[in-house]
Amino acid sequence: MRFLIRTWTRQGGENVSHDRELDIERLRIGRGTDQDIELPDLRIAIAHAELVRSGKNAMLIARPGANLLINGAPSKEHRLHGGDVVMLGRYQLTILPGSAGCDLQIDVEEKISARDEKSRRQTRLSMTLGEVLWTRRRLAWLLFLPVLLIALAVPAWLRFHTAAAPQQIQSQNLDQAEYQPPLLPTGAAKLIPTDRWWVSGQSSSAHAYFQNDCAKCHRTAFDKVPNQACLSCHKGTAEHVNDVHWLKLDDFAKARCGGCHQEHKGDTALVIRSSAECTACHAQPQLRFPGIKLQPAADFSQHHPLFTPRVARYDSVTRSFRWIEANQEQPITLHSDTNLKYPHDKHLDPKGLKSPDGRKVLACAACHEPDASGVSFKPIDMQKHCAACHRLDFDPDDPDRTVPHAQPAQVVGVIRDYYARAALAGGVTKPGAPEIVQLRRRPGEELTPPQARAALEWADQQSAVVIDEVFDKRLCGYCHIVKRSDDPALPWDVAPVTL
Amino acid sequence: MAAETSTEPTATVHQGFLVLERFRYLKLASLLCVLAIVAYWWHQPASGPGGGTWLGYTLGTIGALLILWLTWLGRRKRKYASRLGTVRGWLSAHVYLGLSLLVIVTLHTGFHFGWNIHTLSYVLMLLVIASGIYGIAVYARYPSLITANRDHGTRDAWLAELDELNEQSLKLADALDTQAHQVIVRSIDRIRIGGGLRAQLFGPREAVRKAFARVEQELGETTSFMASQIRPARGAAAISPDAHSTVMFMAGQLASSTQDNENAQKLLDLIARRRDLTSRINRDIRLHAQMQIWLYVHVPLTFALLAALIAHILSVFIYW
Repeated sequence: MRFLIRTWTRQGGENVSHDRELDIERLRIGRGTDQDIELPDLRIAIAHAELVRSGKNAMLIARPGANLLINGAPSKEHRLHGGDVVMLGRYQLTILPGSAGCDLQIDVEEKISARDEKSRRQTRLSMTLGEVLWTRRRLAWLLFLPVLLIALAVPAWLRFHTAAAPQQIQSQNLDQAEYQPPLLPTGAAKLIPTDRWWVSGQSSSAHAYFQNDCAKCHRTAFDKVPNQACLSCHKGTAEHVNDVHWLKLDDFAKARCGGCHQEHKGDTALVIRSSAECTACHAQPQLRFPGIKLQPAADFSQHHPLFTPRVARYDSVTRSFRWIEANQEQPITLHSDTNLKYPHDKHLDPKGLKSPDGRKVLACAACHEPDASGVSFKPIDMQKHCAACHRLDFDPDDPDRTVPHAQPAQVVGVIRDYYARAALAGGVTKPGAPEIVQLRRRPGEELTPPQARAALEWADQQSAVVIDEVFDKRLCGYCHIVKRSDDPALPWDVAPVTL
Repeated sequence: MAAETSTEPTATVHQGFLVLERFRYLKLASLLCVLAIVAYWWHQPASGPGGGTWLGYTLGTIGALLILWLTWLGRRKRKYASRLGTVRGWLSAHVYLGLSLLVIVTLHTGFHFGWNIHTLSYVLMLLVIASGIYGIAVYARYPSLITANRDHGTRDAWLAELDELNEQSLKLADALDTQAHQVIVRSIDRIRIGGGLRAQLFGPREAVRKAFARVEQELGETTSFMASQIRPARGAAAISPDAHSTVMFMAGQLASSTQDNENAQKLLDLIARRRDLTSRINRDIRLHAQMQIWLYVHVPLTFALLAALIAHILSVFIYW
């Protein structure tokens, strides 16, 4: 085989090549002076490798004990192609296809001088953390930016600058019944950082159903929850004081619901259970509101003045109620004009009451049901609480026929119509009724005008008797304060009721 | 080697920041903690303790300002011209006031935790403090360990010496025979110093002692060592009796000169010295890596904490 060996050396900063040609069967490579390619590097064996013909190509074979690094991979023998690179110590051998009469060209280059190599060997090894890790500054940015993005920027952007936001604003003013809280994300959507992650604590159980709809209460950024947000659901909430004079003060005009009722603390802080919030003003109300008619209350259970609930007084001339404060020292004030005859003792008889379904024992809760807020009671409802026993039928012969409640004019009309129809239809079996009323009518039979007049006359008498009975004794007058009036159309007057 | 080195002077230098000015900052930080605990105990808000009460806002503000100031140490220690206290004073204050955050910020939370960014900030702060405590521990202990290991040498001198030893052992092995030369070439390639993060923190994958034992064993199996009177302690024992006798027979055929014996002995001495140096350098690297690694946790986590803190404060006031 004919080899062209081109040795590159650096001379005066320039690469200089030196060619020589060999025509031998085996090309020997090693550190020894007898080798065809002599590479003076102590890491190379005296006889390190041989290049021999193998078919059409050449083969590079390592001598026993020696290793070769060919094209970056360790190898014992390798069939050479043009462009193979062999690293030996600090030398690089590049095998190129031969040209102009030689089979193979081998470029030999000393990659680094022996002296340079020594200093490079020291620096090549990573011996400080700075060489193997990113700088602390880069690591810091690498953590700072994602945390800021996930914890603040993305949730804020989604809340204030996306299409979903205006819908949320619309939902703020919906009625509670129409309001649908947004659904919690599921699956992969859970990983999207939203303002859910800003929630500082558990919502109260009353508000838990819309706790993932932050915008329902938190309407504008950097503003406290406005009262309007609370009142959009809690519509009937009254002011803290009932005197306009005090309401004008900042203490009330600028008071926030959230000032006392704190959210995101579970059920502990929404409804205040500690009296400290109350006694802050009520311990010495005169101090803060000079001239106010309020007894000091330093503690709800220990130091509270006698309660002065408001009780009703009825004015029969104007048919209206006014409210006075009950005073323990004035027994005359210790009742409320409800205009309803309701003996609690009789209704709460432990032996029970007679009812259409047998004897029934009533308890407070039979009528006084707590309202949705749990703070007060639902109003008493006649239909619901009274009608089962206090039935409104007016004719013993026809017990299913009843008069409407709380509509005196209708009651009069219903009774009059009922007896007029009965008289004209005939077949009435009441004692004392004229014959024409008692007689059954044949089909197609018509009454003569005198007959009809006689029948209606009886009907008028009968209904007048029943109306008096219904209003005065049996029905209305049983529970209500009833007075005869001068009006023939509405002969009885039922006093209005307040409960 | 370590025994004769007195560690006293270095120990006092490196603990200096802890005892600075008769524990001035320890006292300051303790006072801060005691005040916070007393205020927390005395303050009984109707809605329960938490970040939203006046005390909660106060403790939160103190905590946030402390965190910002503690972070500023990173700037201050690089501003050599600054006359705003000594870096040692700053470090002492950094340590004690940083630890006081454990009390101040925990009271600020009112012991309310959840899966939210507020607790994220708290957890990040705990991690930063934990890495800081590691830092205090290594700064108190490692400088004396490093000095003891150094034994008046320097890493650069050892590395230069190691290169010399490598060169010499190559020459010696070359004079012995090809096998021995190959063993030494391989050992130089294989026995590395330093390396990646894992190698720096916990030492090379193959322990230095084990690696050199293998070199000695391989060397013991070479012809010239068989022929010579020299036996590497571990190498000879590892060869099976059969192989041993065969090699011995073959070796007997070769003329072994006293020169070879001498070279073999020298080579073993060189290897022993290489082993000693390599262990020492690796230990030096390991001690330095273990002493400094916490900063790669402490500093980046501090900035993660700053981001979480910004999010915590802003989100609280966005949804006031």
